[in-house]
Amino acid sequence: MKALSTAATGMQAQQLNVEVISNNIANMNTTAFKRRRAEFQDLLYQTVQRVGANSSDAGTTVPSGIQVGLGVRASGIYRITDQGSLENTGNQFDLAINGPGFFRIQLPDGSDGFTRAGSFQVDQDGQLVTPEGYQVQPGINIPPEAIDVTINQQGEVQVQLEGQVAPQVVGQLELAIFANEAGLEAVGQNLLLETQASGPANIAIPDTEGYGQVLQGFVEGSNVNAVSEITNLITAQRAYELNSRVIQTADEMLNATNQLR
Amino acid sequence: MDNLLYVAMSHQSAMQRRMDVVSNNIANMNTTGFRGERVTFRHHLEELEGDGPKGMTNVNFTLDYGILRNLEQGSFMPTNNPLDVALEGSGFLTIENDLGETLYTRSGHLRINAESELILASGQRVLDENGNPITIDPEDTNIKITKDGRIFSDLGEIARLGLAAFNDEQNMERLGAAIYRTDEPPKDPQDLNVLQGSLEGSNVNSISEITEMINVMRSYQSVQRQMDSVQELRDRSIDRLARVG
Repeated sequence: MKALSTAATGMQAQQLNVEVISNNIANMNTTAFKRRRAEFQDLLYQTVQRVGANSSDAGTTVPSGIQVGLGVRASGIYRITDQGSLENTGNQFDLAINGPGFFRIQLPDGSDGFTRAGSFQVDQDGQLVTPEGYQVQPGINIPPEAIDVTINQQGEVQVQLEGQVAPQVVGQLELAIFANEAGLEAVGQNLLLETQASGPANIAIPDTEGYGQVLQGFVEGSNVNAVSEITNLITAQRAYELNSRVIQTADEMLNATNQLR
Repeated sequence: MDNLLYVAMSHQSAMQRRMDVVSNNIANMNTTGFRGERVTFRHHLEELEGDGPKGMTNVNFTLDYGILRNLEQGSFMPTNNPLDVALEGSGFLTIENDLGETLYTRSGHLRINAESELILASGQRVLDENGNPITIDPEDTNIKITKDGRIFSDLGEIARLGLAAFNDEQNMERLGAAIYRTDEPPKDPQDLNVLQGSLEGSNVNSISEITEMINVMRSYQSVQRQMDSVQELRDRSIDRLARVG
């Protein structure tokens, strides 16, 4: 019975849906996490009678034909990139991006990673690094005798040294934007990699046309909405149960067929 | 009429074997590194004895053809145990059993035995890239295993895990739950990552197995009905035809 395998594809699709939702909920407090959504499409159709086929010698055509659907498949799991809420932490190296853009990070193998999680720290050499110790590009070096560090909305890093009235500029942060942000590949640790689908990184100073601003002392929270995730979870669970009901019914019908004498 | 019963019987034994494989899959749903399997069948043609419908010269019996292994990646289960590794991509860990045979596995449940050797939880020694057992002394603290299989401790690099890839993974012989043997010489894996602190679960999908089980059961039941009808026909014909007077 086709209904058996059609319902099985339905259950597998809802299982994938729940897995995506559970990842969203697990990362509800992850800095700058972007929630994902699973998108489904119908699978295949078996044509019993072709639409528009001739139905008689007079040239009359069949208006709608007979096509039987064979189930569902996942067509994509994409990131929803709306801005997360900004939380004030007061930490001088916590940076949030208000608007589009990613910080560029140098990974241990030399390639570039991109992230919006700006909870940076300073390592033993005074370099601005991520919590894993990866350097923020372009390298920003904070001198150890700096009393105060200010980072303005254009990403300019200024330090206040003892005995000097005017602050000194020690570096300039850069942001990267992409033609297709959804095409970036997630590799964990809040890092994204450039791919062929995302297009090359376009790097510029923050607060220019098309780039967001850098806010010091803030972190960007996740954009996961607890209420909509729970609602989606309930919908997915109900769909899963309904599909399992279809499997049970198909099984009973097969049983009835076998009972015929 | 004999053909009817024998064809039905070949189908029933085929269904039993199919059910055996499905139940093995379900039993190993939580076994690390297990890969689900399916039986494939082929028909076996026999000459039709006696008269048959016009144009029909052969009778199709069902015969086993082989087992198809599902080579899909299993899901990762983080365990935070520094000696647990999961393999991402196509490839195997090289191990050696007590008889000295070289075997392969994807189960990354590693432990250290009393002789300080790196072993699987089931006792086989894990081999490095040169085919030697790996020794981890008690002084080697903070074990780190990188993505290409190198093992580091606070004292430096210890060894590199022996990773092997094969062209023909379907024909590898399975011994036990997640251990494989093959005669093909191993080659260097192209895209294999070793992830420390996780285990690769089995790739058995419970929904597919339950649906397969329902299909097998209903198929078995319908052929059983057919055999019952044939039996009844025979009963009646013997009863009527053999009646004397």
